[in-house]
Amino acid sequence: MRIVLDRAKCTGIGICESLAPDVFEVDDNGDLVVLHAEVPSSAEADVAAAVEGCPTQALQFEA
Amino acid sequence: MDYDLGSPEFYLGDPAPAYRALRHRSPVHWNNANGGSWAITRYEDIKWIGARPHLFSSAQGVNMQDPNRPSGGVSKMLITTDPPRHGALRRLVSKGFTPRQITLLEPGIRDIVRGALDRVEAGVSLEFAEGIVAPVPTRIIAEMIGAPHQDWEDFRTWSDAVIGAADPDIAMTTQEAFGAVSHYFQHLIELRESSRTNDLVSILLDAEVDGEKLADDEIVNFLRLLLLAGNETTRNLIALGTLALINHPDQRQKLVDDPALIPSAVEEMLRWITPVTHMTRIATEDVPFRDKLIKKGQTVVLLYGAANRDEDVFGADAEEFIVTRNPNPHLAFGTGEHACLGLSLARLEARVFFEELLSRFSGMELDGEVVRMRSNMVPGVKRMHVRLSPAVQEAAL
Repeated sequence: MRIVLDRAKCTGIGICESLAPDVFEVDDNGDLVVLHAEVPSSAEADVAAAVEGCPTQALQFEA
Repeated sequence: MDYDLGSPEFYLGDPAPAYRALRHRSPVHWNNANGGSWAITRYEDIKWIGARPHLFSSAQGVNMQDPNRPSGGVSKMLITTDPPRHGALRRLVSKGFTPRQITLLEPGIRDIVRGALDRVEAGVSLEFAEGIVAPVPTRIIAEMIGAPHQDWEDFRTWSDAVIGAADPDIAMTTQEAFGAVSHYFQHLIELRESSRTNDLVSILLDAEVDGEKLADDEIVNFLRLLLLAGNETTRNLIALGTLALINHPDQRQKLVDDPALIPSAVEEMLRWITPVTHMTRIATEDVPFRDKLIKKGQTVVLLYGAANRDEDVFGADAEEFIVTRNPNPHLAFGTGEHACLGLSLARLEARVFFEELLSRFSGMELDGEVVRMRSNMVPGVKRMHVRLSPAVQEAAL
């Protein structure tokens, strides 16, 4: 699974980071950094929750 | 059936039966009260609208007018700004509210919470909402804004007056409170003009959107929103969360036995209480929605508390308080690009508060009536007397 981030939609609120801190990080500029675009299998459930929980629907899985 | 969603009474009773009836029978429901508006109650519908700020604008205000409360007009604030400016404005402060930044505040928050709980005498009835809970979020947001400690109590008085303007106990009018807050922030801006710190006033003074600095009145409105949003909401989450633990001793015991469940319990409090009842949006064009037509210029009322009990999402036990609920994708912080900026802070404050509270006291009982705040937006707790007893004693019994 790969994560695709739509920067135009992302507000940098960091809900994804709180759900999957190993994969997402909002940096000091307030920009979201996807640490692992290729999701490690150990983090799949957390990342799925982050994709679902993003209030602006800025995260998607790429098939 | 016509529901007056602008009336504080609607929320102070138990709105759950009305929410249930609306979700099941009329999920997009026209009410004539309060100038006319559509009540939106299903989870997926609120998410759909929240994700489309171009179709559903915030620019003309985001709350139901309270019939007992004179209109203060719509201020130019982050919360009432549409895209694309909204994103640019929000970005100015959002980096101070990310999970990583907020985590840094934990030791300070714990100190504030411990200081508040040190005033609790075991076994003695005391006023909990105003006396113990309320000062905690006020101190934290005032410190982030950059206000000196001696001004914290003033902050809370103004904030209460703005949110609870329909409440006869609060003598100050909305206009007076807005005036006092604005005057104070103007003063802070003048102080920071000459000497910046790392507080939010300083950040906003240095900020630019599209190459332009913010005007002073824009900064004042920004700070006013942060003060109000960071104050009443968290206070009521914690006060009503405590009430939920009092009324559900079996759930409380789970947290005493396993404090690692507290973050999950905070999510359930957010869902079950939904401290902010609603936000409104105005349709920018005709939008066919389910079997109805929302016309351009009409108001939709997003009833988050109704969505948070939607059986299609939370199951048959959606109306029960279950601290271990998982998953719990509630909409207590709203949804879409206006979702609560301070959600990581609110979660942290509540988690630390309940960790500290439950490590000291596992016995909790209510003493007398809970006096609620009359508000259609944040109908919180004004006064609540409780009697707390120590964790150790409880275990021995």
